[in-house]
Amino acid sequence: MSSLRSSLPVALAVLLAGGTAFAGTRGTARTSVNRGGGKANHNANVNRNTNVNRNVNVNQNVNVNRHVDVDVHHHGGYYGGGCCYNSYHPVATAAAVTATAMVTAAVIGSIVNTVPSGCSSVVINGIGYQQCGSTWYQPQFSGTQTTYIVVNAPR
Amino acid sequence: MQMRVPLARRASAVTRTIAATALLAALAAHGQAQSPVAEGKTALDPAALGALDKMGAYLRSIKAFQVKAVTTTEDVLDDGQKVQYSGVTDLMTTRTPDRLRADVSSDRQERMYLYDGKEFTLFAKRLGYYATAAAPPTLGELTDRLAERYDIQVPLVDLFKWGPSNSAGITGAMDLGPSEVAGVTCQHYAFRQEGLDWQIWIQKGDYPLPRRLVATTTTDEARPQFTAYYDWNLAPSFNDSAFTFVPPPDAEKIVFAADNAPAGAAR
Repeated sequence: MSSLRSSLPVALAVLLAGGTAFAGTRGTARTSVNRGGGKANHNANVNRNTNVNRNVNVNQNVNVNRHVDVDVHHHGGYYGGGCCYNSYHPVATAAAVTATAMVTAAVIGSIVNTVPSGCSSVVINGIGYQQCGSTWYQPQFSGTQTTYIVVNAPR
Repeated sequence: MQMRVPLARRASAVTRTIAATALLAALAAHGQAQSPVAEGKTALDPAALGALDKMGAYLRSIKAFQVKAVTTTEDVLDDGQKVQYSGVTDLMTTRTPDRLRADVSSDRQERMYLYDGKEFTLFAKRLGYYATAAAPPTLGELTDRLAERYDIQVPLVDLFKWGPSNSAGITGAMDLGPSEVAGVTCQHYAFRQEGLDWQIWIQKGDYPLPRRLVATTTTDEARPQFTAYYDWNLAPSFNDSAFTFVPPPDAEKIVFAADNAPAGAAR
């Protein structure tokens, strides 16, 4: 997480690492009355969306890019305005994630929700990895979500 | 409730008079709270708080239980639209020694949580991934550690957090009268606290168990809700192996992000 400043793809990584929610979700119901429930900072993560999506301009998916602009308008205020943009579908989000995973494949430390297709499962020293060509992803639990962090080749 | 302490401890007649007046005021507030429409102003009904504390104390006194909860959770999309997901949690726990096992199956996730007093394991069944971490010896410490270090909420964590005193942070407490939940006679209470309005249905009689919970997040104008119905078994049968994780042959061990090496460092 400390490499947040270094690149926009990493910002996406942080976003994805944070939530059980889809990227187009601004919030979720608290599921506990008492403190110590964790999950307190999801909204902050969701908000980083803004940086992330600008970056997605790289890819060709028109739908995705449309959502990007929407989020840019929402600078800093995920509860504000809240008006009128109704097409931030999980499907589009998934497209953004997948596309970005490929774009940023070589950036060590970046985190994605899913790995590209055609990866193979490899266990090294008892720990599972996903090898996708020359890129290695390490699956991990971020909260209870699984995410994949790009690592140097473990062997 | 707070009035009783100064009343008992302080001797001065003046103090007693003040305390007695305050007590009368509290009793008056109690009367109003029973008809919630009375003033439109939030009141703290001592009887409602007392019922919550009684439930909490009872929960803490139970040595072992199994609870099946049917839950719904709402998300708010960026445009304010709400969507609801449903799930089922099957949780079994025992105290001294502390153990926990929970199977959570929702629209979005299927997870098993296992705690044997020494280690905590999270298992993602469909993906075949699990991770294990060293764990503190009590459930109380476990819930805190998982929340703080791993951003993991123990399923139905309130059942472990309610105790003999729960009034801290509560700004409104009402008794809404009797209500039937799945054939069980309950009393229905409503509470307010910062960022959350919530209602609980507590079983009447000798077993003051929570039977239903509705929690409304008030920090988002869409007010997303979490709901749970609890089905209790106070005499679960299990042995110690129920709390120990044995990975299926095809499962792969992975890491918790919080325990992972700094980004970029492969292991």
